[in-house]
Amino acid sequence: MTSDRKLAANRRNSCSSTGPKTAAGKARAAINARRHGLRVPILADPTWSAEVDTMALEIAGTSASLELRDLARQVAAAETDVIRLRRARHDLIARALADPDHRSPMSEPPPQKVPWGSEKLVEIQRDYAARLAVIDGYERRALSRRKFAIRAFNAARNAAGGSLETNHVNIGCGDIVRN
Amino acid sequence: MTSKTKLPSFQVGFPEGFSRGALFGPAPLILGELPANYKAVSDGVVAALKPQDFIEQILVRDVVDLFWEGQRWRRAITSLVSRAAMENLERELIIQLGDEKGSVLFDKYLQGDPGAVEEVQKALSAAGLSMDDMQAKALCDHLEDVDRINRLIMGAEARRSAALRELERYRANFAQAPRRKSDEAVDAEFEDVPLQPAAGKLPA
Repeated sequence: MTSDRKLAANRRNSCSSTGPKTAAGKARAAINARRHGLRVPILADPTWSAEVDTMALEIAGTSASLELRDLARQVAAAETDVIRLRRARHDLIARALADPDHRSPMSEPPPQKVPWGSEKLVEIQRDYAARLAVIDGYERRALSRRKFAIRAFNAARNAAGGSLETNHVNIGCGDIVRN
Repeated sequence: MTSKTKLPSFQVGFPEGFSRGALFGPAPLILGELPANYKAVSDGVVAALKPQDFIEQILVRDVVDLFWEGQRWRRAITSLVSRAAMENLERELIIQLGDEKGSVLFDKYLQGDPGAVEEVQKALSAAGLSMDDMQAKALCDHLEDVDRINRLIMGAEARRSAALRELERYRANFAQAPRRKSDEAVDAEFEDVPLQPAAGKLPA
């Protein structure tokens, strides 16, 4: 059984163990449970939410009604989420592929020959399969959100007469103006 | 000394500084992929689908990226199996002809020397084998990888088809709006009015 003296010492010590005190420490502790950050809502991230606003403006135009602008924002949020997830997946593969020191954790002891090119790509895909599957799942959900958001936006625009302001359309071979 | 290779980063199909290009981000290229090839695919798809507004651009960019991804994994499978088949061939030649002679013949075969090609065919035939056997063994050795990569290809193709379907649906719905307006205008022109008898005449 714990003695009274020990109990008092434990209580005294526990009072001084109440987590980080400084702002930097608190900020660090706030992301202790963070694994990949891909579940953070896109609008909660200041960098990405600025992109959502710009994209929503491109979709709806400046003279659209409040309802259309809101629906365009939903399309933009879902699309930005898709972009974020694809970029995360691409970065994961591209970084490992470009790293000459990358070694598969599955090849123990180190292999006789160092894989390169397609062989290395396939190896990376195998090593990161679990993480890539997680990203894939998120992407599927984001694509579904985007699909329904586009349909809602399209329906609302058609109900409003289907006329948005003239859009400058960039199709990669110069700008085309649609009237 | 190791050198870190910098990945190419550029906007495909979108002029620099143009907001939409920046919004979609750089082309999803990995080491060994040529920006010019991606641009050719992008230009081809854009020319075929002719996106008319920003939402169509989103869907067209999806089609381009997913096609590119599918091709990447197809190339990976082909390269993986071909390389493994060549390794199998080298091993087989060494078994049959010995270390030195087998290696020399294999090197000449890789360089496309006609004499070496013929000699390799003979050596394989003598053992009751062919190049197909080398390929088949390579496929068996990497069956798990091939199966996993094939699932990725199927996933990319399914998403590409979904993007195309969505583009079609979006265009069809968008086309309905002017048609509906036009129908309303035509209906308004031909409004039914009750028949009024002319002055001085009795209705029949």
